[in-house]
Amino acid sequence: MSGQGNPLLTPILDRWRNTPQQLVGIFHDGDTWNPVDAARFLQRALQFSALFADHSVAAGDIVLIVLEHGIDAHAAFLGAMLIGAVPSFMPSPSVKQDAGLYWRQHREVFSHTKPRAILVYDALLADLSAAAAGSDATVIAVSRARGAPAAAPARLPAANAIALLQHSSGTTGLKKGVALSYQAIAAQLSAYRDALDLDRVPEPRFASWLPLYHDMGLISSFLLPIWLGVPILSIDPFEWTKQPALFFDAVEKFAGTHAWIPNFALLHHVRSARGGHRRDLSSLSAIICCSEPNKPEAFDAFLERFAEWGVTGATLQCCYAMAETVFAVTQSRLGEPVRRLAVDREALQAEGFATVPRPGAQETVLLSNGPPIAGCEVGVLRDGAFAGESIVGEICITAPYLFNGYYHNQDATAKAFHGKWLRSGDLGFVDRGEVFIVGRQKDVIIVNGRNIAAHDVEAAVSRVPEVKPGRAVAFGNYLASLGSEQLVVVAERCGPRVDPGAAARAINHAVFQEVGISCGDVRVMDQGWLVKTTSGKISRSENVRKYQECIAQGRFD
Amino acid sequence: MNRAEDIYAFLRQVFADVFGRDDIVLHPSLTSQDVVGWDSFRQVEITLALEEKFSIRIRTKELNELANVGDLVALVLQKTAAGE
Repeated sequence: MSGQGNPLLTPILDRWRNTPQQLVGIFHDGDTWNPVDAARFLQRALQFSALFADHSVAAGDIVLIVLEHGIDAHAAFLGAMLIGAVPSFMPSPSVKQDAGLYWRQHREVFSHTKPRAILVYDALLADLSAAAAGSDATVIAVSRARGAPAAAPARLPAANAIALLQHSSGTTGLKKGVALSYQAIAAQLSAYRDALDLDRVPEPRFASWLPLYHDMGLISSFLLPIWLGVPILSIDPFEWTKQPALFFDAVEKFAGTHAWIPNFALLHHVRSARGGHRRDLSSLSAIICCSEPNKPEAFDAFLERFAEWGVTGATLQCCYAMAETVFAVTQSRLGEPVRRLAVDREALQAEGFATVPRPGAQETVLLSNGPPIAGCEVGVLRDGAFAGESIVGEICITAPYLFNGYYHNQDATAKAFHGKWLRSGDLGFVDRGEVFIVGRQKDVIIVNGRNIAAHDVEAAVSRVPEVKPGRAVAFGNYLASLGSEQLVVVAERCGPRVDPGAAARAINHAVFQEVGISCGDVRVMDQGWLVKTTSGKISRSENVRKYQECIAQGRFD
Repeated sequence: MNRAEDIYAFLRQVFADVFGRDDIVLHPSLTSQDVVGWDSFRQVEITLALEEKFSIRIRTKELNELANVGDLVALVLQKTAAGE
């Protein structure tokens, strides 16, 4: 099976063949923790390989995987890779979301990726089969793999073959399949391993509740640990949301050492932790915060609450990552507290310049995301030219582990680059070689680590009968109490007879059905409230400013 | 013995704390999509408050099966009666 020199799969398979009893992961399943060794995991993966092959899946074919979190989801992904197919995790519909609508939203993904097979949990089989009718995709229930014979070892895909598609979390407008080659993934994992300085930790174990359809979960908490031979302590994200203490259970029971989480999760733990039972989290070497802006106040709240459980100032770390670079662009230095930088707020906001606060001026404290990891180069693009340190501009990246492009989407791929540089859409600056992120120039709202395209929300709101078509704006508004942005919608009602309360509920419902999350705030205003640009378009930035002024001055009350 | 009215009274306080609003009218058919901001994270805060107040344990599977506030109150009543 090995010997073909696949830089991702060969090291994994060689290790598992030599030490079949090696622990791959401990998966939380119902009320139990289920340890899975290499022999069992590989056997399961090869059962999926055989299942896919039986359904005429061949090398290069796309396989979409829509499964509940657990061993099967992980094994099926690897099983597809082992026959050279190209797997891609897709999120499951939420229990409260209309399944038919959910799948209609994914038609764009179907039409772009043209999957050969879609593996689903059994309860979804009927809905998805109906949604995929007329396409070339075969919909397969996961139960078909149970008891199936394992596939015979096959020739591994070449290093430059596409390994997977990463559909970053998000809405219809953002679901561009990021195509990653095996060599890009292996190069990233190698560089990131060095940045993590894992030699400091005798027996690393990565604890995770992250969804696998998100690059942070897929890379940091699945492919990286199995490539390194580090056991995964794996929790279903839906279960974690409702029982956040499961994360502490995993760390305490199994000596978890590393975890990757978005900033908001720090505060979810703080709010949900109850007194009484004292935990021992002293095994934790690093909680690496990523996927949404990291905030000092969230770090402080977490440290204050959990210092007595063994969390230290050096535990909380920052990473800046993109699916298009496989994962990490930068990583703060492990083993020491993240550097904080106080800058003059007005100079930052008005001039785009990070400077020491002038006497008496308000300051903004930023967390460093650390220096670029090995092989990665970061540039700051401002007004068409690359700027020096302390000047705010668009963060651009070049690295030996860039993606192959958006799958079957050359236009989007071309727009993502400025010459050799990948444009991130994030605004930031470099200080002493470390990257700081201060904002975003793309119209993306990040709610609890999940990317939402503002225009998808606005389109859904415009379809609400109580809203004047086209007269809605959606944006993110950071709330320190939540540690994340909340999704805000401001819409104009059709006329004075429309009840604002009923319209707000209708908008909330429509947005939930469209993007799977609830609005944090909805304001239904009279016609003419929204600010337009000189060309007659609704100005997002001006309406954000107006909304924030109204909140600050209590004018919505 | 807890009564449904006691649970609603407690929930009114919890909703005011969680959502920072005191104008939410609780009624049995109220759903998460009727209240702006009621997402799964706010649901956790509501659930934890109920568990602490009534010394009960609500499982994730039970939460997934709830359609509205009336179901939630019925579940709390059932658990407190059973001494769970």
